[in-house]
Amino acid sequence: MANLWRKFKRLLPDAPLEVVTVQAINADGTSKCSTYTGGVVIVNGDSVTVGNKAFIQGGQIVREAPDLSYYEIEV
Amino acid sequence: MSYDPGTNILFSFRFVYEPPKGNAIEFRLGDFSQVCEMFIPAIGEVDFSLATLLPVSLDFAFNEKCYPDNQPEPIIPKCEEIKIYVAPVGLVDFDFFKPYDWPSGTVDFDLADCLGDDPPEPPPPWYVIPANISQDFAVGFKTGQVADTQKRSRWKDAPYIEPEYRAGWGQGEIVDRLVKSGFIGLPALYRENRVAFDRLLRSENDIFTAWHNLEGNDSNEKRSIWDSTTAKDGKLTAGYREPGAKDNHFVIPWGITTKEIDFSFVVPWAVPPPNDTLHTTKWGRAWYEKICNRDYLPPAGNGVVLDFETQISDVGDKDHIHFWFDSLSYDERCRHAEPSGWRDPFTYRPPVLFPHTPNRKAFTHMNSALLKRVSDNMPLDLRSFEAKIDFDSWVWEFSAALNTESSYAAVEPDENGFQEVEANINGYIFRGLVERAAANEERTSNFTLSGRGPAAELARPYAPQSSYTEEQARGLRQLIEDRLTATGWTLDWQITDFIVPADVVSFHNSTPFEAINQLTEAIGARIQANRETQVLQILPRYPIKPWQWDSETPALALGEAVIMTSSRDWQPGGNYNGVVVSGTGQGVIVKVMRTASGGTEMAPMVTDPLIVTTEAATQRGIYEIAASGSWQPYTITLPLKTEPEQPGLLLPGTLLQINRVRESFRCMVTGVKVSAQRKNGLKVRQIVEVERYRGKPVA
Repeated sequence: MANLWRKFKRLLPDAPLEVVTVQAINADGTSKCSTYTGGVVIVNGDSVTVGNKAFIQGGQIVREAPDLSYYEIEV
Repeated sequence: MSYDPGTNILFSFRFVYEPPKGNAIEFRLGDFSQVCEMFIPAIGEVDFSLATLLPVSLDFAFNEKCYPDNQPEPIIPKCEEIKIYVAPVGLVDFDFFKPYDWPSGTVDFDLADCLGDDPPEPPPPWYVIPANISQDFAVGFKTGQVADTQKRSRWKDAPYIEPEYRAGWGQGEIVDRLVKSGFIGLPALYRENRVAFDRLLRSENDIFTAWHNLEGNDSNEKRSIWDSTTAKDGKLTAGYREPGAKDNHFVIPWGITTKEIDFSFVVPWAVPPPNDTLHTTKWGRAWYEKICNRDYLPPAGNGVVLDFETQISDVGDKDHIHFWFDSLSYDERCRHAEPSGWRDPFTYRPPVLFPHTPNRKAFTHMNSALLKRVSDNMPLDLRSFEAKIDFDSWVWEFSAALNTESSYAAVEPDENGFQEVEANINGYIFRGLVERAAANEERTSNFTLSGRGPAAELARPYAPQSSYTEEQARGLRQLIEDRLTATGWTLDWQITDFIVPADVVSFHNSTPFEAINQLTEAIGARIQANRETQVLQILPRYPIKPWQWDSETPALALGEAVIMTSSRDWQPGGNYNGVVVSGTGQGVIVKVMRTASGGTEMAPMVTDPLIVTTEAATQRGIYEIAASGSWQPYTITLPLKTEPEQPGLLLPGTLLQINRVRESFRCMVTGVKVSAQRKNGLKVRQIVEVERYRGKPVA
């Protein structure tokens, strides 16, 4: 009786919008970014300057992201 | 003389009465020429109780043997005069217990006529007139005419017994009292002279054998066998009367075969060695003062050093400043002791009570399932009904099967729209819009309805779509309520509200439901429409964090007795313990972690324009961490009881305690389906989807 649509959606590859910090812009048009979860990724696009936040989705820099306040909360 | 009733006539004879024959008393009645004899047994007192003779017989004129004195043959004349000679040994007592109605005239006991007018008849030779009886009271009834044949003595019918034949053994001679055995020398019996004893009504006392006078022939040949027993031999004593002495040397068998008990054996734990001498907690006021009180030794300069670095909650009674005046550390006991001694840190927590389903071998419940058209309360011929909602659905869905075409036609949608129906299943009301209807008329016709709850009017295809951007900072609840304006629906708000800045919320071609769903999903909440009223509940997806379920109070405990069927599955998850939740245009970035986990396993980042505050981020973060864990879904079939009986209808989000024989755990309802089937009776069930959290615990 579980919601079939939900179960099916879980199986699909997800491409979430993520906020990263641009660490470096490579010559090939890619950017080296660090994520909030502690990883480093190289994504396509070089529209965001180093040190700024950027939205990435599906390996692409979508646009520049605002520099939002950061909190850590335990639940 | 006249007789005065009620007075006893006492015949007292001072002399020894010697009965004429045998041991009898002889009443001799007669006149001068004839004698009437009657015999009264006389052993002891003879009591003429007239009361017992009434009224038939006071006549002493027995038909006795009356005969001329000189004639041997008896004749039965009329006794003209009766004389009674009483010569008993002892007393003859005439008792009149109550006044006697004499038969006629006067019963004259006047003996003077007999004894006075005529020359007194000389008494029989055996009779001796007692000296104390005067002539007036000489016994004798002169007026013999009182003999009334109607008042005969009870002996009157007794046949007369000839004295000669009185004894059964014939011509026995008069027994001489000196002859001790009356049987000796008796001639042979004559049969013709034998007395028929069975016809005798009176005993022949004059011839009976006085046993007490009988002296048996004491001869060796006729001696009773008991007399001939010899003396017992005193040596033949019973063996058991003088048992032999017991053998005091006899030894109990198990005293021989087993070891002798060693009484010096000591139970090891009887006197255990002390093992706490090094750990004895010495406490009390004396020890407190000895341990915790010290003299103040001022430092150089004789000053007082105040150290305010330590928080007040860490010193003394936690509410006033404690002076630590030297560098020595205090005993741990001192921290709890001031001022009155050791404190028990235990705090009583009352037991948590929550309802349990009853544990019975059988449950009896009168199910009911009714369906009607809401517009006019027209009852519909319901065959079966189902209604369900789950964790990811926001409105009840229902389906129903009808028996008759007339019922079907009453609710079939047409160009005027759809009908609203209302089902009552064991007291739980489900309202629904008949969105689809299907009739299959073959040999067996099937009429089915299906649809959603009334909240469907807030969604496609019935609700209007609109595009909207909120250009003012509004609360989230306000934003949602705005979507419900003029719909008649209200909110049941159960999540944390927060302020949403301007230009954050924007809808595009959205129905009210889609707009609300967009807002609630952003923060990990969900919508659940009430099954009956126009109320939308806004609920957190996990009202209680799944990793804290074991310490929370469930709404109900399900026992083994109510669980009809159960199946379970496994749904693996990432078991993350943290997630970063971020806004997009404005807001915050929040790293939400399970307590003490450090966020070592982070879920993919979540971004949503509505993450504008930490409240929004926290609610969303909890949902993401919880949903990422491994889950174990259970499908359990339960009866649907009418409240307050349990289990009632279990809605998604309800925390349950499942107590089964092999396991006991907490879980949350994620979906429920109510089913009512009319087939061999009405069966009502609720199939409950629950999920048991199997997320990885924090190390």
